Amino acid sequence: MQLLKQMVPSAALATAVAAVLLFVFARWRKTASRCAGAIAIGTGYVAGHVLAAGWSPFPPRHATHWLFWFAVIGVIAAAADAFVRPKGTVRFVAWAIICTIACRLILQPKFSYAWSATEGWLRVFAIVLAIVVLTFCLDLVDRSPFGTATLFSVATVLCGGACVTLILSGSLLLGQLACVLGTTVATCFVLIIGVSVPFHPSGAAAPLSLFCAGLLLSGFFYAELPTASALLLALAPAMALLRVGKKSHSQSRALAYRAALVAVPVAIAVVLALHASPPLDY
Amino acid sequence: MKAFTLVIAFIGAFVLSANAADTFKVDPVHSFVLFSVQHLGVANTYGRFNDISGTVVFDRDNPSKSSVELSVPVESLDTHNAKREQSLKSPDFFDAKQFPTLTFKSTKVEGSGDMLKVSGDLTIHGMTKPLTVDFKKGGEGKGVFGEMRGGGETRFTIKRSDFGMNFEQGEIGDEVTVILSVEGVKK
Repeated sequence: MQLLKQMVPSAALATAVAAVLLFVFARWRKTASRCAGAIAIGTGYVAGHVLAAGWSPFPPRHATHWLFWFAVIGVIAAAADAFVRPKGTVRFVAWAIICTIACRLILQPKFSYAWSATEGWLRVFAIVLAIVVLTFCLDLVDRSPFGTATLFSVATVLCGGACVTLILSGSLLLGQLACVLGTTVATCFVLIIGVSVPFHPSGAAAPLSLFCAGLLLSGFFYAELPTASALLLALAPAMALLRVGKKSHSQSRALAYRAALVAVPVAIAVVLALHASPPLDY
Repeated sequence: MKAFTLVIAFIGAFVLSANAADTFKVDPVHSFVLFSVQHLGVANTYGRFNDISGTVVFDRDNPSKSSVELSVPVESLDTHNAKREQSLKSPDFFDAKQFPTLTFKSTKVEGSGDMLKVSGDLTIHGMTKPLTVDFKKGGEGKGVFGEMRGGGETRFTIKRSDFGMNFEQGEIGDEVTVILSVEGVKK
């Protein structure tokens, strides 16, 4: 109960901000809808983050502060992508550079205390590759039929699992931030399904992958998130690309199947984190 | 004349060495870092750090020339509950993997006799704040193996919010009481 009391205010604020922004964007020009998803999620997350963890200084003093700025960067990148509309290669390279800088910044303490420069940069490049693949997976989901709703449902499952595993890994704060992200994404999903006007707030794939990567990196390197749980959570969205069900199935049924597929590795990740956690008698 | 010079030099060296400051290496086995913080406004939760290292330079004739440097690894945190320690070492509080060490480095020592006022920089969670404590110097004596030992104790209170540890304010108190008992072996 105490945990819920801590998490509800920030989650509620994030939900409200995301909902308001989505309603506002639903009445704007089509150009704005290309980044509406990113702006709604990013801004909602920022609001929830401030309530949960306080305002993040710049330059950030530790990794949790960087999660706030990742949200800001993700929104700006999505808006730039929507309005500038660069070619595919340019988008890919720009996103890889952004992810590289983000990883390097959030992993600065490891460069200070644990890794040599060579070892550190090798790890950063490997992680960036994983983030780019995750972005690619989420982008493919977003472009599929009924894709925007599918993306948000997949992200809701992923963030919900990340919330539980991060709490089990010893960090209530990271779990709370994952909950903020999850409720923001869930709000987008519910509104898309519930609102009768056809509206596709897209552009969320890239910032979502950056937010999720930031949370998982923080949990793995600075809390006690098990390696297997981190990998399963990072790979879970790829399950949504599997072809499931029959072509004759309705879009909502296909969406449910995809969400269920993603839930499998997420559930395994949660169980592994529970197994690795010290007894919860505290 | 040569003999007189030698005698003077010998006496001078003896006087200088008698007046020189003594350097003590902190003995982690006989030093203790304890802390308490209020939980839910109900009772205090106690904990300790099981490891400490550092150096104390003490000049009994001129305490202002004394100095203290202490270092405590956050990983040595012990509250006899593994889940609580996991939480305290996480990004919620000490963030041990980002800020692995607590340090204190003195900038000024004042006082005389057994009561000293030690001022310095305390670094916790990557943030450095000035701190002044009253340090009660203990005695000196020989250890089991004939080594000379000295030490003392201080108790002080800090606010964890001053060091950027703001999580669960209200559930866990902001003020943390610290008891530091230091024993060192003379080098």
